[in-house]
Amino acid sequence: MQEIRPARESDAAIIAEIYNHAIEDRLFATCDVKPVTAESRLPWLAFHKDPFPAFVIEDGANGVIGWSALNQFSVRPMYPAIAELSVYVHRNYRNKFLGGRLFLHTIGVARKLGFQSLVSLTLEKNKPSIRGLMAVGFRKALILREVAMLHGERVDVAWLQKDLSDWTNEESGYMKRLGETQ
Amino acid sequence: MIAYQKSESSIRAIDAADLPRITAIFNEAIEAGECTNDVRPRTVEQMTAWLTGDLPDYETYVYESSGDVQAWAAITRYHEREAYRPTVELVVFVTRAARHAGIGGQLMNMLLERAKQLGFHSAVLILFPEPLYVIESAKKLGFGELGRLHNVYPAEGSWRDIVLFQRRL
Repeated sequence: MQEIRPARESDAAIIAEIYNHAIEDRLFATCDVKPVTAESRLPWLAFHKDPFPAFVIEDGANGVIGWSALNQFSVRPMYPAIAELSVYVHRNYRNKFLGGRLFLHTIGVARKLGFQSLVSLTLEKNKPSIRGLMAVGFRKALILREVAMLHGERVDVAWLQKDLSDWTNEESGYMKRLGETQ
Repeated sequence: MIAYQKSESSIRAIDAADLPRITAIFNEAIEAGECTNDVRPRTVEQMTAWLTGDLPDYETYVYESSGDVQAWAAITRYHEREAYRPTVELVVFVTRAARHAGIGGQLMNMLLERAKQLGFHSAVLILFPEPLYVIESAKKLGFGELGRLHNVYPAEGSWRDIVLFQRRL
């Protein structure tokens, strides 16, 4: 039985570990280059309270297998009406729609918190993330070409945005697909 | 550092004494709704942290005419994440009284040249969709329009879009 709950201090180590999977596995899922430490997640967790909460998804005895967070929009942190969405799934549990569940949960929370829209800065090469984001109603706003250098390669980054007053795709698309797989 | 000379005006690197004037010019743009960088005025301390905290990779210049700082421009960090280091965001602010005299374009050309010398790969601008003359100037300087985020900047009773531009250096 999988359950999504707010992240707490005791999740610091597993949150760091799951994030580092994305760096180590060269998934093109983050523009961080060096692994993060569990200690560095403590101030991160202290910051990630409303209106920028973090969540984990727990799988019974297997413990935490993914996490999500709302963040200040990294390029313009002082903009009050938007938040940036991050979702990371443990390397042994990818492709099981966990990312989708975390997306939907966190989008719902963002809406309740009063954000107008969400943004995600996603590497163009990270097709699974872009597909997942578009399935829950994000659309591509723009693409920055060769904006980052990752693993020795110049890479493109897409900015995606989701208007939180628009429920259509969430309901009709992703939820349905998610239901069919369970 | 490079310096350009044009009649009694000059472009030079900033020093600490310029920060109050730079802050005032920045806040003039914020209050006029011309600047996407923040939603409220900044203090001299905030401006100092922004413009001098990341030295020496990023640089700020002032445009001075007869001893009066009328404009400033900077090569700033685009994003805190390490992989984004090849990209910079350029900003130019001209005090209202000195506008439409080519100072902004002169500063932007200088920043583009300098950012290239520093080895950066591309530059971005983050602008409002209006006024159009700013958008037109960006295009004339070789920036391509990438697209926009909708309804993200607070304005009286509504929200404004921001538009991104990028140019290879």
